Amino acid sequence: MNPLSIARRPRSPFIRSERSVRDIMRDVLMALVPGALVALWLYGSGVVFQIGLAAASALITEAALLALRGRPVRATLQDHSALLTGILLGLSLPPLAPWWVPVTGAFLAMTFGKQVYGGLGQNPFNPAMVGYAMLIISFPREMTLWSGTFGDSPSFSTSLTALLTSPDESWWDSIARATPLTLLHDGLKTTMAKGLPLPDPALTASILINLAYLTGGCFLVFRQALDYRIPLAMLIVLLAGHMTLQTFGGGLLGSLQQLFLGSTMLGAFFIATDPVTAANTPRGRWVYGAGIGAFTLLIRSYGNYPDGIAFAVLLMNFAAPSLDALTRPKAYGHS
Amino acid sequence: MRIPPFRSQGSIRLDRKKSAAGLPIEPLGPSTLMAYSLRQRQGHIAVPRVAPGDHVFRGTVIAGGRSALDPPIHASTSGTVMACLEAPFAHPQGRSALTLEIASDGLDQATPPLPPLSIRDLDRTGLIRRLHEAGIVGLGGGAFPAALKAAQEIPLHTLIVNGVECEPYVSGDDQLMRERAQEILEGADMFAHVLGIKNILVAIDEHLLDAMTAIHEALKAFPQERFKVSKVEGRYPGGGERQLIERLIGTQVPSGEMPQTIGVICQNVGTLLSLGRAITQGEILTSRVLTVGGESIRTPKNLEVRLGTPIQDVIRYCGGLLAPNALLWHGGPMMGFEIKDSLSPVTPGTHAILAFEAPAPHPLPEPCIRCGACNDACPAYLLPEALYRASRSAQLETLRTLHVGDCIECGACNVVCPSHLPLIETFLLGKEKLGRLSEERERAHHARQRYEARISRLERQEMERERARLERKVALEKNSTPKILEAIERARRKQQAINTTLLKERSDDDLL
Repeated sequence: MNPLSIARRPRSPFIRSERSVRDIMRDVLMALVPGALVALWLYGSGVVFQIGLAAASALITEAALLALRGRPVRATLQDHSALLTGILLGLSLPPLAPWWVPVTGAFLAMTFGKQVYGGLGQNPFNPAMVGYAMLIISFPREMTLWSGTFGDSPSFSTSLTALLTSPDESWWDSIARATPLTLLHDGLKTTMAKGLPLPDPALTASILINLAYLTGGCFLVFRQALDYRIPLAMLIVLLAGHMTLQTFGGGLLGSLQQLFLGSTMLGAFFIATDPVTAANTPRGRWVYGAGIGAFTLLIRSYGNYPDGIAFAVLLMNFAAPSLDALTRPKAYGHS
Repeated sequence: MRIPPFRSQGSIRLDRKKSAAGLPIEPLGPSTLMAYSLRQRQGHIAVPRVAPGDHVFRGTVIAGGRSALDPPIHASTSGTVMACLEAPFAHPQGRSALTLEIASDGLDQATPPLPPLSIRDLDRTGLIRRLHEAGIVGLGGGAFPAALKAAQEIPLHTLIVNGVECEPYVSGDDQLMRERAQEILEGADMFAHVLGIKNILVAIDEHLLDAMTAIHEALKAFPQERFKVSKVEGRYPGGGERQLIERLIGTQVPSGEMPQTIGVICQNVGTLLSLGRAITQGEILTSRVLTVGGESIRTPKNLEVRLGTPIQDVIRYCGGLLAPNALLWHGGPMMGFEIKDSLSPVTPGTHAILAFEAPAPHPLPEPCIRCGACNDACPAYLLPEALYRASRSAQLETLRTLHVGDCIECGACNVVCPSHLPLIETFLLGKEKLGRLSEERERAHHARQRYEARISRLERQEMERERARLERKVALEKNSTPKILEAIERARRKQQAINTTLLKERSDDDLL
């Protein structure tokens, strides 16, 4: 059966959705703007370099692979999905990572995260997170060095130096700062647990950027460009789980602050909500979001990585098909 | 399109375009040439009962009417039967069917009406007979014979009067409620009375305020405790029978069953009106109210049209089309279909005739991004996205476990799909394949049964033959007279002698 031949005939329903996949992707891209601007302000021009390189690499890789697979290149690129993957990856990367980090990451994301499965709609794993996970496993040093904070962003020349040359350790030591989550994580690993003093500017920066992503996320919920169930479930579980941990003396920081650390909001509204790789049934989406929240908390609290969003999402991607099968709604008239 | 932040499950919000809303119902007289498609539900063709040259009146039975499954088709004006031929009729695939053509004589004479019935001594059998004779069928679009609907002897507790007109552009029922509320309620009252139904629920779309006022006004003359008016949220497909029942009664109709199994019966407002008239006035169903609308109709109208009127004449009465290549549409934009031939006649299922600007090609389908909008929209609580995948890859067993058969083809999933996938069409193909599969299985089963039956029959015959042979033998031995036995013995001996001689001769030859 050729869906195209059916589609071109006038048929019922005569009314059609006024928006397309491209419109949804464009909404998501627009919703990323506040977060990206705050990141630029906090972390300097490195943010732009990372986004630009990752996006360019993603687009070029997608185009090349589409051509290899004999698929329409121009029309497919216009759905903005490759661009979105590149930008999401770029936003997740440390702003001062060397140029080959975003380039490799986006290449891996588009190749092993998307096109090997048959392109948009076919991939079981979130492409941006596939790229991110491969990078953080392969280049742990480059992937954990962050610089810049509230009121102290790296200069253009510093960003460019970090991007193009491979500066030595002593250069890095002079400018790199750990993120609040890394500080907390390391603190927990050593002796300190609760009540760890955080450098205020770092915490402020983290909260600011998360607020920006939350704003964008709310815009998407309003536009129905994403399913509110996933971020809502994730954030509720993250918060509730954190409060439980705190009661038993295992949690870090105040409860609300947990929601505004690391890439929580970026993850909740832009990563976890990738519909292709999420569970698909209405109830399944609640479970899926809750699972991401739980894994994030567990990895943050007991894992090796300071921020667990990427692995939490990938783990739940594995679970999505089973969740769909287990949470199938009861069809009308079937008891 | 208004976009609320949260989707609600099982329905969608549609743009409420109503080009003929509030316009009074105008009667449209018969055309010079009327056509009556003899194709009934499920492809059954009614047998003609008139021949070319016969003169008929409005109300003469021209075909069918032999059994409850075969409601009679009546002429809707007086005139002469011209021909019985294959002609197009409004059908999604643009098929043609056996059609009776009647040339109107312009006099519009009617047969005498059926004798009016008194509600006091009308029982179920009488009601069923009257509904059948008067040719009453569901006017909501399905054209299900009303007699059949009333025939099931199951205790019923609720009659739902369906005034939820949920498709855009369609306003005939709205107008009927505004203008003829009294008669609709009378029909409902009588129907409920005869079938022993206690509660009557009048369900009206929340947007149809004038209709609601009219119904409330008319209700003053009826026993208040039997009637209840329910405002139904104006979402699509709110007027679907099963959806309406779930919303109002809180119970789902079991899959594959009629609503009667849970004690509920649903009737469209137009059906109840003509049903009431059939009882009290003996009126035969020869016309129906329909909406003519859409952007390409010059003057949208609500019309009462004779059944059998060519659609072309209905459009001409409404000032024609604004664009010569406008797309003609039968029924509502959600569940209707393209009219391939404007000579097709109006049938009892024609609740709207719409015309839109030149068929804009639907957007090309894009890959499914599993956004889940369809899962939230489906009023049957199916997973259209999963169904689509299973249909595309012809996984028939998966289609079955996902209950593709429970899809009501309302098109809500198609409307919300950002990838513009041909969902319903694909499901139809899936259903067809599944139907074919079970048909094949049925056939294989039959063949196997036949084969096994044949084998056992042959065995049985063989055994019978054997038994008969044995019986004959025994009988022969028992009944044989000595004379016969002697004769047999003689014959045997003679044969032996011959054999001996032959043997001897042969051995002699050998010796030589």
